[in-house]
Amino acid sequence: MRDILMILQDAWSYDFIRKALLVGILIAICCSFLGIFLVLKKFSMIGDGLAHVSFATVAIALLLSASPLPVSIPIVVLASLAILKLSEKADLHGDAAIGLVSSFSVATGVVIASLANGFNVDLMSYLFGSILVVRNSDIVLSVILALFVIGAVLVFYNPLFAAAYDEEFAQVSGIRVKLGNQLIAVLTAITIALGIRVVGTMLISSLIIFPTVTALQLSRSFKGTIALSSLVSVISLTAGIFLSYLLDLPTGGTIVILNAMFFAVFFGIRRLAKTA
Amino acid sequence: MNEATPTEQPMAEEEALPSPPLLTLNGVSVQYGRTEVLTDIGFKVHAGDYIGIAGPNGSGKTTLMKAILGLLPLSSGNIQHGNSDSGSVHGRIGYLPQKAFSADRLFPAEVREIVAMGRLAGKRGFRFLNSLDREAVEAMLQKLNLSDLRNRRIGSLSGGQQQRVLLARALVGNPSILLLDEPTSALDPKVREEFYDILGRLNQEDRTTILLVSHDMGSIGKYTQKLLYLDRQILFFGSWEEFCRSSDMSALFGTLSQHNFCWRHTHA
Repeated sequence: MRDILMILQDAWSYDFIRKALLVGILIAICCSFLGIFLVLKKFSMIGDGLAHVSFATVAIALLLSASPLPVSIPIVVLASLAILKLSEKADLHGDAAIGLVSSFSVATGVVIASLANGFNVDLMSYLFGSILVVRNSDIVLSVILALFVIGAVLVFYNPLFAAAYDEEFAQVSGIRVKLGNQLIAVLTAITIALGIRVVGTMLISSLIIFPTVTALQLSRSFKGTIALSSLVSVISLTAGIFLSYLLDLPTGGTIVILNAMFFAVFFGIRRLAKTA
Repeated sequence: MNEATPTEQPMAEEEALPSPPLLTLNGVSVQYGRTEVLTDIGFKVHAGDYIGIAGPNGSGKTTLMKAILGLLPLSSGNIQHGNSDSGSVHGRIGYLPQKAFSADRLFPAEVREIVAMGRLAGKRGFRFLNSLDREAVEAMLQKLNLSDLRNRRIGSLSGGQQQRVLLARALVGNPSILLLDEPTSALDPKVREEFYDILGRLNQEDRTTILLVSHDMGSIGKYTQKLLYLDRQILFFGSWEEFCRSSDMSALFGTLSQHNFCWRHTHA
C-alpha cells in the first residue's frame, strides 16, 4: 500500500502528469456537460463521427507539418454544423448524416496517411490518445477552449434545457431553438477536437456517452444528471491516468474501462432498487 | 370584425365590454405551399373568455393555434396581442401542448424544473432565473396541488399529474391567455373530468382567459362558454346558447347530436 502511495506521489511530481490531469479533467467536464444534450436528442453518435473528422484533419495537419489543433478545430466545427444541417434539411436521419460525414472523413484520412508514409506513428497516437505527451502550446489552447465550452453551457443552461425537453414550448417562449442546436454542435466539435488527445479517435465518443448514461441510471433531475455525470467522468479520468502510470497500461483505454465499470455498477444499483 | 360569423354579433354587446380585447385576429390567412389552410379568420378574445375551438380533422385548428403562438408566418392579416400592434407573443400566452405524453418517459427532469421553464418566456438573453421566479414556481406548485411531487421525475407521474405539471408550466409566467391543445386526449374519463374542473375554477375564480382546442364537441360543449367552429374558415363564433338556437347549425351537425352538446345550454 505504501509502495503504491509512493508511486502515486512519484507520478504527481512529473510535470506531464499534472498537465495531463488538468487538460483531461476539463475535457471530461466538457463531455459531461454536452453529453446529456446529445444523448437525450438521440445524437450520441455525433461524437464518433466528429472524431473521425478530427482524425482526417490531424492527417492533413501532419502532412502540412502544422500544429494539429488550429487545423482541426475550424474543420471539425464546420463538419459538425454540416451534420446538423444534413439531419435537419435533407430528409436524412441524424445517424445517417453522421455516417456519411464520418466514413468520408476516415477515407480521406487514410488516403492522406498513405500518401505520406512518414507520419504514421504520430497518427497512431491520435487513434488511441496520447494525453501524456501533450505539447505546452496545446495545453494553453486546450484549457482556454475547454473553459469556453464549460462557460457557454453554464450561461445558456436555461434555454438549452428548455429546448432539450420541449422544442415547441421553447420556441413559443421566444427561445431560438435552432441557434441552440448550432451552439451545441459547435461546442461538441471543439470538445471532440480537444478530446482525441486524451482518449483517441476510437474512444472519444465513449467519454461523451458513458458518464451521461451512467448518471441517467440514478438521477431524477437534469442538473443532477449533469453533476453526477461530471463527477463520474472526472473520477474515471483521474483514476485512469494514475492507474495507467502505475500498471503501465494505455491511458485512454484505462479511462474508458473505468467509465464502463461505473456504468455497470450504477446500472446494477438501479435494477436492485427497482426489484427491492 | 366578425365578418366570417354567420350569426352577426350585435355591435352593442361589443361596446358594452369594458376592457379592450386581449387578442385580436384580423383577416388572418395561412398557406402551406399553395394550399390555403386558413382563410380570413377574424375574432377577438376578451378577458375572462372561455372559448372552445372545434372543427373536424384537417380544419386548421392546429394551424390556427400555431399562428396565434407566432410559430407560423401569416400569408395575410394580422394578430394583435393586447393593445400593441407589434407586441411580441412571448410570455403573453401560456401554452399547454398536446404531445406531452409522447415525451421521453426517462427524460431526467424534476417537476419543479419543468414548471420553472414557464418563467423563461418573460426573460431575454441568458434567461437566468432569480428568487422571484423560484417563489412563483413554488406558489404555482402549491396552487395546483403539486408541492408533494416537486422533486419527482416527470416521466414517473401519472398522465393526469403530468398534465397538471404542464398546466403549471403554462400558468407560472402569468400569461394573459391560456391556450390548450387537446389537453385531455390521453386521459381517462375520471381524470379528464378533474382536469376540466381545474380549468373551470381557473376561469371562474381567477378570471383566467382560456382558449381550448379540441375535436371533442361534447367536452367543450359541457365546459366552455363560447364556441369557435372552424373548417378552414370560421363557420361559427359566439356563445353556445346562440349556437344551439341557430338553425344553420343543425345542417352541420344534425338535430340529434346538436341536442347532445347543447343540452346544458338549452336546459339550464
